[in-house]
Amino acid sequence: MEKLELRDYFRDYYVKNPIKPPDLLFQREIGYIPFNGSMVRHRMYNNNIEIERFVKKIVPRHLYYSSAYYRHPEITRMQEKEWLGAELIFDLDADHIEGANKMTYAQILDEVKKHTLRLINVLMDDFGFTEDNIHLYFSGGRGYHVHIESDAVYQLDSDARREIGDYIRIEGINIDDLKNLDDDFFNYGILKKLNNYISEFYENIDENIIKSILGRNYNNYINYLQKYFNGKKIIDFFTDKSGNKFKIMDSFDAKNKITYNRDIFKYIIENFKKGNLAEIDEPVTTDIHRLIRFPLSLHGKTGLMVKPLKIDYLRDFNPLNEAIPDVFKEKEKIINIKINKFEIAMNNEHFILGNGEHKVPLYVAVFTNAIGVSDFVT
Amino acid sequence: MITDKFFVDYDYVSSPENINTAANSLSDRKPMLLALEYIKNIVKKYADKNRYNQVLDLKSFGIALWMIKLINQRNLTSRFIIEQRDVFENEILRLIKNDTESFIDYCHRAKINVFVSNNIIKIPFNFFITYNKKISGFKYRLIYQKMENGLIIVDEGQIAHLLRENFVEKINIIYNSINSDQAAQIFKSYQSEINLIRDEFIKINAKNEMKLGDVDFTKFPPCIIEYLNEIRDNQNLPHLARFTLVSFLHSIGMSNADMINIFRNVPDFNEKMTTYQVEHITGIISGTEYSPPKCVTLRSNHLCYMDDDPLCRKINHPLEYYKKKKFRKS
Repeated sequence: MEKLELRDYFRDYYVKNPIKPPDLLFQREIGYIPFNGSMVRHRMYNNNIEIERFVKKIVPRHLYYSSAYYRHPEITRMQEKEWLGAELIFDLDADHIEGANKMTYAQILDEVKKHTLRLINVLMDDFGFTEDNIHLYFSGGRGYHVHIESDAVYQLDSDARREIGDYIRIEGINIDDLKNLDDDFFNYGILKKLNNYISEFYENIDENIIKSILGRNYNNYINYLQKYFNGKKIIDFFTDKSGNKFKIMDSFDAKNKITYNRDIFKYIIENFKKGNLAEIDEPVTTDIHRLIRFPLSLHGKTGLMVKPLKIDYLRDFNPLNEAIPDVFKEKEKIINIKINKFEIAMNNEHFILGNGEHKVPLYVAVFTNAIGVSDFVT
Repeated sequence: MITDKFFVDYDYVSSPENINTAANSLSDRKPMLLALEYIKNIVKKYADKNRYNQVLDLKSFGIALWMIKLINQRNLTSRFIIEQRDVFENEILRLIKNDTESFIDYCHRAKINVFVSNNIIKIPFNFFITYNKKISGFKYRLIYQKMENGLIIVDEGQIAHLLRENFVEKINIIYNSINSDQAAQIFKSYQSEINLIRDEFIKINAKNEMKLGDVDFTKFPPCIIEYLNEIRDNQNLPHLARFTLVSFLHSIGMSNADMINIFRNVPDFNEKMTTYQVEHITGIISGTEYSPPKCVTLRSNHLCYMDDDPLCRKINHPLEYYKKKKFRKS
């Protein structure tokens, strides 16, 4: 009964709100999870009218479409579908954020947003995608989805997509490779950012950090930084934003049998990565047959909308206010909270709900019910 | 076509009419004779495991490609494509250095977006990541590229390597699209000569393949053993590990059916897909028999498990390990 009641609210949403089909809907595989039963895949709808009719009739708990375009999306066997290409997808959610298990839902959303902003910057600055190519969605759950629609990506295979994923996650850079690159490489992309980071690290050199890495050798290192390399003080060489800093290891350091820099650079790279990578779910990006949430469908575990967002609005976007369907704002509902305490800020209101019955706005009722901490009271 | 000595016109090479005219011309028999001579020499050199990467003119190259299709011997096809791949790379490198205009013209005709100004070559990132896969070394990883606004600045060596991979793909597509009956029709008057070449190659190939002997699992390098262990433990393998395993086992003579059986243990096993992939790597579908990657590639992809194996320190390629161990005097 519980599930059926949640389904009624979802139906109300779908009856009053159109979903937003992707381009070439008839080439997409549609999948859904119903309120009763398991995943259904390999559906195909020719046009918006057909899929709207289906959604209103079935009322799925979760609704997906394939990032891939197929000649025969309705065929069950993957090989026979005839893959024609696929959007490039990035999935960012709490699962990949360090320390997420200790954060509140709102904190998680904020943290994932930071990573999403980093991703979008790299996609625009380094990969050259424009706002027309980048389609951004709140996932309805604990993160964001970024879809790239561009001729530059449709034909890329999994391996090529993995290279993009590695770039976004700054995966695979190491000191021994870096020291072999020409100075010029550090004027572009990730390596330019790394150089800026190194320069700032040495401009505001932190005694405690150096001590924690080098221990007793701290003073020696400070003296080392005052020595000259290629006619320049080493500290100035490091704070200069241009050129390859790692090459000092094979020249000055090697000649003088100095080994400090390997540990320091390792520390710098690790910290640089933490502050600059975007934690994407790489298997999603490399999967060229992925099913992804349908824009403007409801997330079955929150009752929030999979909401399209303008890129420049992301910074200000608050999903807990703005991804709530209007139809859930109009009514109230009595629920029974099954845990000791549940706290959330939604629609600019702060709710602290203890164990037992509460009359709350419908969106709180739907949200708590969908995540499994409350029952509806009839 | 850039020069009459250099084959770069993919439309010409894929047209049966063009090949027929070139092969059966009474006034100019040179291209046909050169193509025959070239293939015979490849076969001869194959026996001694030598290379034969001679530059062919457009007509001879087209005729040779169609003839190779008619001969229909996997190893000969891949040898031919590898030889011509290297010819291509040398020629394109020469153009990049000495004749920018022709280089740009080639890219234009091959429908490749390349931007050249003041000797700086830029290519779209998607071209780079489509063709960098089989090129080892950190300089071919996207993370180390000079990328800005979707374009990557590449040096002469990089662009030549990438165009080489693109060339192989294009030639494979043309090769696969050639109709064997049509090829037989074109080379009707040369049928007996072609049959002789085929027989000769089959003989040499059989001898070459015998040399590795039966598959001996105890002589495998640690990386291959690790991949097999992971499969035994029902784990999914990364793509490059699967590729390495299949190309390795194929190189040492394991049958495709045996390989497919090994993969039955992986959780995402799909017979049709596995068969397709194995047949692709072993050349049945692709026309190219792939070799396993070098150790350095495996290392940079976190797929090297050498640990403290002393033999690993002395070799650069997983197959070298197997051969050294197998033929070591006990």
